[in-house]
Amino acid sequence: MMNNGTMRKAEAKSAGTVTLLTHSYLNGYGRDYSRLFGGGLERYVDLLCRAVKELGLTPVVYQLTYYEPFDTVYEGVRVRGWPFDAHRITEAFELMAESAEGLLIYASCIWHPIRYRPGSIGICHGINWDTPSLAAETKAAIGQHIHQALRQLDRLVSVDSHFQTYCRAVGEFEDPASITLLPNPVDTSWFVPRKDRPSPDGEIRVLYPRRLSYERGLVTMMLSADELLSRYPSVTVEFAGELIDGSMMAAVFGLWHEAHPHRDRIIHRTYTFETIREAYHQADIAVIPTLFSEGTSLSCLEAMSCGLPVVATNVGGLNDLVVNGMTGRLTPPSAEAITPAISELIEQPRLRRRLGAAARRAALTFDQARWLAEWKAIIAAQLEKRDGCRR
Amino acid sequence: MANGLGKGGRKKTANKLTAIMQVRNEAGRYLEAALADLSGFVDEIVIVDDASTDDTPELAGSFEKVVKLVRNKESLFHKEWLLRELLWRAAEETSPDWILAVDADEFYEDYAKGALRELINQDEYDTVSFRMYDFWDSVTHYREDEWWNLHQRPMMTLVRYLPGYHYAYPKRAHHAPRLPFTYNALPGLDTELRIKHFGWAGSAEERQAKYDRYMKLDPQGQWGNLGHYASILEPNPRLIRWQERDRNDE
Amino acid sequence: MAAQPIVLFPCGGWRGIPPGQRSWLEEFARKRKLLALADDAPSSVEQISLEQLGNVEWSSASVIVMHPAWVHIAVPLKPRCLIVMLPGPEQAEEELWAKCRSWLCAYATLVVAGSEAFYLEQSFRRGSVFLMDGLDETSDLFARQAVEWHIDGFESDTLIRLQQRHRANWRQELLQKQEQAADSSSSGYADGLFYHSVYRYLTGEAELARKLLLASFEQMLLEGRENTLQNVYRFLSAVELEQGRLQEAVRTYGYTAQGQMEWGYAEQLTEWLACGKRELVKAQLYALNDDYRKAAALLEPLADEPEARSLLISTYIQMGRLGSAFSLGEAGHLKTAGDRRQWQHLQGTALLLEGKRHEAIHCFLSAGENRQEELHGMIELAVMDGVARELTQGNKEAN
Repeated sequence: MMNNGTMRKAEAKSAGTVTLLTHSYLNGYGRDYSRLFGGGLERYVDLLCRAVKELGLTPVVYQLTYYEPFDTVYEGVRVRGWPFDAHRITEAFELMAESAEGLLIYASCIWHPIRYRPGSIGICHGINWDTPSLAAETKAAIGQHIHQALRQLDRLVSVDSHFQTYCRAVGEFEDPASITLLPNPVDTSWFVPRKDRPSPDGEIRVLYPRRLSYERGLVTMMLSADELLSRYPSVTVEFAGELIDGSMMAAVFGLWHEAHPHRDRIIHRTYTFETIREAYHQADIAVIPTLFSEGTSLSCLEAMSCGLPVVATNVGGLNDLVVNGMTGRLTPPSAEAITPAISELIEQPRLRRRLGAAARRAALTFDQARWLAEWKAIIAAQLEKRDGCRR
Repeated sequence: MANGLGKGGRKKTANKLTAIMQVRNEAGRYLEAALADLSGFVDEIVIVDDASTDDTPELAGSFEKVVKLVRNKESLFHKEWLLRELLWRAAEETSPDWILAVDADEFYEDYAKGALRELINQDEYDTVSFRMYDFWDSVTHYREDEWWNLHQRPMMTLVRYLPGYHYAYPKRAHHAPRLPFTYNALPGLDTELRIKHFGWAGSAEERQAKYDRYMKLDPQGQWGNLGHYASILEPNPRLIRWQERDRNDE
Repeated sequence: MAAQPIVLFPCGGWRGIPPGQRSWLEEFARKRKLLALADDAPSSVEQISLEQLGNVEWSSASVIVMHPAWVHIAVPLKPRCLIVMLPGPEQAEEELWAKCRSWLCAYATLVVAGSEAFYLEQSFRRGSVFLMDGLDETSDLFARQAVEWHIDGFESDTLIRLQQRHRANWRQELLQKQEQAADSSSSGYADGLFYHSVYRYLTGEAELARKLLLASFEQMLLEGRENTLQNVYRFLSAVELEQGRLQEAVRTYGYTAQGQMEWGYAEQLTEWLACGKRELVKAQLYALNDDYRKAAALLEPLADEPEARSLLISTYIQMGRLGSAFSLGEAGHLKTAGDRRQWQHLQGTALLLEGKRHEAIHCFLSAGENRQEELHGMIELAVMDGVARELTQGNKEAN
């Protein structure tokens, strides 16, 4: 039984803590906790920790791990790893929440039926159940879970307008402000347009700057590439992203590449977060042909920030980034639709320059500084609300 | 289907029901009652008289619904498959839709009679099976024991006539099936509807006479089972009282 | 002029060839130039690798293919003679190999079948089919002779007839023996009757075929076999077609139809008959009895007519003649996205068999652009590639 003094100290300590719950952060393989998984979610959490620190608060990250439990420090932030059963994510999050102190931010897995601790914030990184072939029953169940999340969380931050609209259309909730749109940021001081052009041998490079996966439109890109490579002898297509060894897409891509009559103009490279800028600087056109499951595409933002004209599909958060004909090209998700858009850009260098410049200007409004400021405001407001309740 | 026919050209409505029966010296037993009963729910009756020596054929012919009566001069009793084939061919000549193969001592329960039209006016199946109960020593009780349990298995007695279908009987002297066995290939419906068989419902003397006849015909038990024959003489068999069902019962 | 050289595409190295055929092929190698894609070929046979295939002059060469996985490699070579020598399919043959087998046999110039059922199936699809199943020496001799004549550039049609009649008589003798031994319920008797019936159908003896078929039907029923109506009785409709009894044939089919699809066919046949479209009715009924060859022959002169063309396309597809199906142009029956995907798959395969691998991949990818499950065309291609490579190796059995 604690006396009043101890209680206030404990409260004070926890009052300064913000705990982020996520299903993925550090890569715990081999007990080497020095690296993040290289995806958008992990970078998001990392950046969010920075926002918390800038507020003078203490960020803590609780994550799920495939390996053994751990308790370590990464860049000054305490990170605890909790092993889990792949079929029981809901329970895993609830377990993590029980041990968590201070303000809770549920940073992922929003579509699971998690029982949220009152006074918490949630984040949705985009809708990943928007494929036409997913069963209606599954979609309805997810709708139920989102509706429940909206009722339990004080605030739900959405990275795109797609999910914001979805919440308003599917959920019933008290406070309209409880769903907040905060698109992802891009570091516009790092992702800058390249200094000089054109490339000496007249090569035009079309870049697919993301992981080579089915939902990110890899098949659409391959089909389009078939047409483009055959029609334009000066075009090279670069696939800049990871391909998982032994996966179906790896087999498919391999078969396609090996049998291609123009395989000398097909490049596949992987980059790190630090080196990906090279790919943007060597490219003339970026293609983001997502089929389904897209929040605010970081690739799209980075490409735009580098002043590249983009051809994107009208899926998820891409609609927030590209205004068709002004800051890029936006088309339905099919090879039949993106190929003419890419062709037009190949044939018209002036159009590329115009769209590229507009893309850069648009990217500036997604600058990182603004994002940090908005998160800090959200966290501060939530803390004030909780303190208010406590009195 | 365009012309009011159902699947595979089957008639779904207004099917004619023809009863077929082979008889031999049945006058004085159940024949009159059976024909009267049948006349109440079938449309036509076809009969083959196997060289009766009493006035069975005259009795049969006196019923209006008997549209065809074939009289054998010589009995085909020892070539039962020929007798069955003869009856079948006689029925074929009357342009039948559905055929109900009945013996002279069989009576369909009221409930079954009520269901018949619905059973035949459809295009899903071509045969219907029932449960045949052997009444014993009376018309109120049937026998059920190790040798007498025919009613626990389906018995096909009602079939759709398919013109041009291949009909065949196995060449057996006795216990030829009453319908062509090629019906077994066609889709069928098994029901729990019941038929009352009065062949064993008479006196003990009549049953003794039947026993003697079987033992004379088949002393080694080639066609039937000796144990089965012996059970005919069982003095106190297990008998169960029959409960009639109302025609409109659900 | 003999088609030289002869290149063998085996089913697991040289060792994988069934012993009976192996000795015959080794003898072959003494008389003619034989190459093999096998890493364990004997000294009399020259070894060749997949990479060296480009060095051969295929327009004057012969190919003997012994496994379905070779289809996309052997067929595009367009050799002068494409001889397909396959055993009968396994009980639960994988769908991919069943398809490959079908395509391979469709593009072959000569088919040698290793089992009777397979032989009869192919006889219903094409000419130049022989049986070599080791059950009868004379019968096998016909097949071997046919292969040699074929390579030497001679027609083997007379041999086909001879082998069919010989087998029919062989079947007849077998049945008579079984009947005399009162061995009627031995397994194989009822099936034997059926096979015999099919032979007589092939040799044009319809009335005899009918008697045997009905006997088979009766026997199977007495044995309590299931599905006799579709598996056996239905064939009566094909026999009736041969006898010129069209209305009865339609009626017989109607009696055997079960399930929505078959009832649909029965209704269609009756409608066509009522409209006087007799050739369509015959073609459809032959096709429903798997006699695609007769169906195609009836439909080819009518290919300008949309209904006939549509039926002809699906018949060609069943037969494995993808090239022919596509030369008839896009069929009007592609109503749903699912139909279009299926068409794209087939188109991809047809292109693959022409040797246009890149174009084929483009079709397979198109089919799977929206649904990942529909990329199976690519996966099958990967499997076929992988298995083909393994088949050259003598030290393991390809699955």
